[in-house]
Amino acid sequence: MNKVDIHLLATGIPGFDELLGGGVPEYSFNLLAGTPGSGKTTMAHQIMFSLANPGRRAIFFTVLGEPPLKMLRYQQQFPFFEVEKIGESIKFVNLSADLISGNFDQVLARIEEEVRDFGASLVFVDSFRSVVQSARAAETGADGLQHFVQQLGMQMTNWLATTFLIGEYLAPEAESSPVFTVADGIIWLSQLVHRDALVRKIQVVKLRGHAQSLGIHSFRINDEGIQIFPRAVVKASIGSAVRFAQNQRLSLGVPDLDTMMGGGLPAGYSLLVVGPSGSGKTVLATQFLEEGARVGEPGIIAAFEKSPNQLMSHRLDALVEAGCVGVINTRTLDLSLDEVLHDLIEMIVRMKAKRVVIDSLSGFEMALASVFREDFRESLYRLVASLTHLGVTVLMTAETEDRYTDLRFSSYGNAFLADAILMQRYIELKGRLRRIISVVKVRGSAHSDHLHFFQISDGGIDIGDTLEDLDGILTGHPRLN
Amino acid sequence: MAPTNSPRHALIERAVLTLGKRNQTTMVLWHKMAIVLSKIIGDAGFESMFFRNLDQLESSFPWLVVVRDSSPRAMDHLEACLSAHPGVEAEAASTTLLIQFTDTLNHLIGELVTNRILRSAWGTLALDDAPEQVK
Repeated sequence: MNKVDIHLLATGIPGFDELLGGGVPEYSFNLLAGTPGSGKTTMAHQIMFSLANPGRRAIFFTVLGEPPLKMLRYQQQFPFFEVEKIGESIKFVNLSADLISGNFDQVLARIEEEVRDFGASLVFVDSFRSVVQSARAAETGADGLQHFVQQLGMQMTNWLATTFLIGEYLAPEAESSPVFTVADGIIWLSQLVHRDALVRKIQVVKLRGHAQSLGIHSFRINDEGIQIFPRAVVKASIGSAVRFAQNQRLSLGVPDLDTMMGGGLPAGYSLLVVGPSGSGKTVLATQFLEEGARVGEPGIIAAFEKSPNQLMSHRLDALVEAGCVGVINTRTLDLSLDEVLHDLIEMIVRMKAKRVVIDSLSGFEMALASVFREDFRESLYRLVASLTHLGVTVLMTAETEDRYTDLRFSSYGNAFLADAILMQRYIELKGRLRRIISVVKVRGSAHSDHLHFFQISDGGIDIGDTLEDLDGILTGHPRLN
Repeated sequence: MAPTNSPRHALIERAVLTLGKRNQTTMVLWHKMAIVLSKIIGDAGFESMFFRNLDQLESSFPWLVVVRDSSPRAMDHLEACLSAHPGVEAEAASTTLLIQFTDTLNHLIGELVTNRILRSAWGTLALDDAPEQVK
């Protein structure tokens, strides 16, 4: 005897199936709950239009919630709203009059009649909270509601229908516990305003029958509809970790610097390039990408700091035009890390990229919605772990204020995340402001411990002499030893 | 407002002609539309929209907006008004009201969804010689 095979329905919402462990279980009884304006109705429509077809028809019951005409007016702005499906595969039915009568049995009978007549196997009820409120107003109370929900769940299961109740709830449990108990799946949507940024979040609170993705994830409603960005953790869906030969290294595009690193940057490492403004971090990042293009390793630059015009040196511009480098450019200040990572991974897979530049961490932090900045270190950890898991080698730049009283590698205390660190600094020498560079760390590898002069020419970074005859270099005022 | 030469207007006029040839009145269209639309927006929603559009036609057809006793149902009211007037005048008023009503619907939910609803309501009446857009 075989166990029952639970078929999962793909929801059509980017990222959602990943949260649900593959999709919505067929014949399940689900609650889409959340605060007002959190996107419940849009989510329901997106699922419905994606799943409905002549062989799997859907009924959308409206109940004392958003006026149906307004709902149709606004939802059809989304591209998923395929008008041709209305009537053929999708039917809208208003239950307000039935509910106002206060007779739950009549409502149940009406739902069953409509589902039977239309042959629906997808059922949506919006807003279910209206039903709850009606139960309280009409003296049916909690017992009546419990009965109604159980009957509805049973009826819909008997009709082999997958059901979604859409409900506006401020607190997850309390008044509506019957619904929460009976539901096979509970999806909780919320929105949070932190300073000036609005962040939308989604959580699969409950899903019977199979494992879901735990935790709270961010999502966005844009012109296309809802897009979910599953919380960035190294996950099996990306594939198993890419492994490299122990001696496999990538050239930074500056041969002398490769030598200082012990033969280049080990493949799959994350390199943090720290230095004050103008010290040449982006120049080095450009050379890193150029070298990748030269040896057939496509690259991506996530530019958070500079506008496209500022960013695009002619050299970088040429790489982008040649298709060797992809650019993720955003000036939005309400991103979540997961959104950035989603775009990065999509581009990495599409371009088969081997090198990623994040320029810079301070710009990246600024681009995140304020609520996410509080967890920046953790976010960065997840980002770096996910990227290196994919087998890309990451170069991150971080701007540090030159302080000559202490040695700092990052403003964020993030240096521990990097497998390798390059430090750039200014020093004053003979009336000139000179640039120096040093390899601070290359995990598991021998590397130079010398400080070197370097300069930026048209060709890029030129590594100069060591500073062995000078002491007190890091104080900014070296003297002959 | 939708242009007066919109495919939907032409569709309504053709449907009215077809009904005339069958010795039927525009009440057939009203009843069919009321059933389908009431399911979507509820009886109260349909009634509200109907009487709002009726009021808009007061200057052209004041007899449609007579004082309504005891809040009659929309279709009962219309049928009573139309039956009290000569056929040609009644059909002209009813057709104008249909166009006005569907224009309002079009304003709210757009031509594509409006046409889907009309097609669903009127069946072959909506298909006969219907322009490509509503097929």
